[in-house]
Amino acid sequence: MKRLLQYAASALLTLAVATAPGCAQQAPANAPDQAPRQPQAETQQQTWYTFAGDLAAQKYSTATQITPENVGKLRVAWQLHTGDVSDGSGKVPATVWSATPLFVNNTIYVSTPFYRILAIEPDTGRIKWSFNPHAVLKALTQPDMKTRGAAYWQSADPQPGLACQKIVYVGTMDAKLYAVDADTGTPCKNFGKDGVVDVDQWNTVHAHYPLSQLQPPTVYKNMLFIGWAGKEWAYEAAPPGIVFALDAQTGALKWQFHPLTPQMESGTGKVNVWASMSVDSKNNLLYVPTSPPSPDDYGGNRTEQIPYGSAIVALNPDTGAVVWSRQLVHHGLWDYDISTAPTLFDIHRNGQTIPALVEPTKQGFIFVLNRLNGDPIFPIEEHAVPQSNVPGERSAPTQPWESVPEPTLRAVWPGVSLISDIASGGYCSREFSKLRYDGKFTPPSLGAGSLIYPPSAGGVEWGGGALDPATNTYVVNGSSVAMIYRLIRRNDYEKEKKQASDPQDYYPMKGGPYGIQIESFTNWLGMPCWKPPYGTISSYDLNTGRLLWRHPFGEVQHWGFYMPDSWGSVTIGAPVITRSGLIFIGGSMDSRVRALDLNTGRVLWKAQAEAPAVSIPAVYTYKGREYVLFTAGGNSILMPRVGDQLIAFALPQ
Amino acid sequence: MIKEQRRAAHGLLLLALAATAATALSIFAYFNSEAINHTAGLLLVICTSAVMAVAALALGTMRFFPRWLRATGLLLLLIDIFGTGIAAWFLEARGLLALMGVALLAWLLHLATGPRTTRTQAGTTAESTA
Repeated sequence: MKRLLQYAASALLTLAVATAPGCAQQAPANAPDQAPRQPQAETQQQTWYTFAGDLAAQKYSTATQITPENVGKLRVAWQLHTGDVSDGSGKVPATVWSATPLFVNNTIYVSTPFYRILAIEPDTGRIKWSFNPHAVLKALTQPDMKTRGAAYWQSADPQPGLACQKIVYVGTMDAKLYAVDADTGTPCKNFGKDGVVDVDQWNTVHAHYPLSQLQPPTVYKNMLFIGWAGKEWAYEAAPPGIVFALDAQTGALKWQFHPLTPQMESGTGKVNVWASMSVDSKNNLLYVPTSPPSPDDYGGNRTEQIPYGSAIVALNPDTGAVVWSRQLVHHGLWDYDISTAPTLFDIHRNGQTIPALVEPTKQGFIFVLNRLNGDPIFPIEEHAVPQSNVPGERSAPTQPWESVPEPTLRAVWPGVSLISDIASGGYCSREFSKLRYDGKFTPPSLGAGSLIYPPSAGGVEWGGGALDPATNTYVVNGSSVAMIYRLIRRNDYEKEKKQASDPQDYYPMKGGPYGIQIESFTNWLGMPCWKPPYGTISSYDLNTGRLLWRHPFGEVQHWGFYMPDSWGSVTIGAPVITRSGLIFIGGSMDSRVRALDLNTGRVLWKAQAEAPAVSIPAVYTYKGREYVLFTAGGNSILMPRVGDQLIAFALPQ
Repeated sequence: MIKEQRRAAHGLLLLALAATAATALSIFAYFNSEAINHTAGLLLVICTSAVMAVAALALGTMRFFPRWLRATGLLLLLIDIFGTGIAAWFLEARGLLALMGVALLAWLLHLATGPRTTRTQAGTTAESTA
């Protein structure tokens, strides 16, 4: 992913105008917070040791120092600029910095879009050490230099004086996975070959591009679980989406999960896991969210059942064996990846505890499942959907559909924006009348194309939501975007692309009968042709599935001008929740970071960052002081503004 | 007479001062603000406030403009003040907005106390105080 977001946001850019008491508290045996503790004076701390805060992906902190009452007093405690930033105007492609900073081992660890690891003092921002793999700074798969962070492992029984008892990992665009000592930044020589594993050594089928390591590994027991990202739109037959389990200390391959059979692999590929994963340590289950098979937007080459595509798959982390799976999109034609790790929690109902997970999707659905068997906790029905009229295509007659909890997006697109329509002399309504649109899951089409709402860029993205395990309040940010998907016959594709004013809107799907043009539904001024809000934040009671509140979130900013609050903003990144009843979130186009009241969604505090904080913030406590830490690096999907700012907020001392 | 002329120019000179301060503030923000640095919107404000400063200074110090030109200049200044103020509002630049408020007050001050232009029998322009 994800080039589609690029278009969605570019529309807004040109406008002138985001317990399981059982899970959260049951960290793995070797989880940092169950590791040997520091001296008593230093125990007044809460860690943030994974991409999503913990292995249950709750994005929840038990910190209580910052409260709704005093959050207005937050000030910058420290900040640093990494220097690893590019706007794409030079030789290095633009940077996308979506890294969650980790706080563990009394240190902040963060990776940069140039794939360096920085170890930082948590109270001053001073760099302790840095590791530079001298990675290839070329956009080999994704259009930008991208990282979503580093990962951390430590031995359950660290031996003093021995190196690499605590390890930090970073992956690169060219499929390398590096391991360095967490205290010194020195490469761990026993890991792979001199501290690096080349994941591409297992890229043997349709190896058109490297298996990019942009998402940090998921660390559990003494293993690393990794997927990969690629160029899903480029080829009909892409690499199969294998998940790898490696030994955390040696990098040795422990097992592989193949989502496709060898027969399937001959004509298609992917079903990869480019997003984060979560772990139920109590029940020993690893949850992987998968993408659809290749190519993204045509499925005539893969008409057979591919059950692990666009699904949540529960694996045995020791063997890679499938325990259960549930497909959330059948026969994908929209690039609807299941793009975020499911959040694990427990529902307490009538004296019973139901182990559950919640998975928000790009379609705006909020699926709640029993995490032991995948059964729906709130009803999921098979809903009849529009059928494709494209020669060779066989779209699925039905799709999984849920109504409780209320989806983040309406079933029908918002309609033509009057302002945009008037400003463009009726262009939006005229253009809409030419498009095929039959509601959610309208398939791509030939000719003028189809209006797709939501497209791959819409709904909930890779950050997912946050959960307060004390109340099972779930908060999630979502985007509202409309795009046009137009299939083009192979014979006409190259010719059209050459003549196009925006050739970057064209995706070849090489090897198949069609290429595709995907563009945002905007008028000639660049204004979105659909009605706002373009982004919202919602809160749910997951015991009942009830929507508690929903508000437009963020502000659209273009040419420096801020649009009305009621319009909201497309968002990338995710919220976090604290026990004191606060939500912290960046993610919006206006480069602001905010604190919201968990009970009402009201904005209580906001501050300016130098670029959109398209990441998951980290909340941690060190030496008795609570910090909220954002990476503000921007994302070309939202707007051209890039940054290299790591900014920590705390109450005045 | 000289005293009257000086008093008459006070409004426009205050306007020129506010516009000059707005130009300086927007140039500073262009390079230093985290929220709106290097934005087209701020460039626009730099231009409009600079034009405002020059125009107000010219109208406030030069007496040879024909009446129609002076009236047109005052009207354009008002449009400039409102346009720059609206841009400042959407940029969420409170300082600029406040300065546009000062500029508007100065413009009104000029209307209230400034010279009126009257055409003499000889067809030349003369000024009299209201």
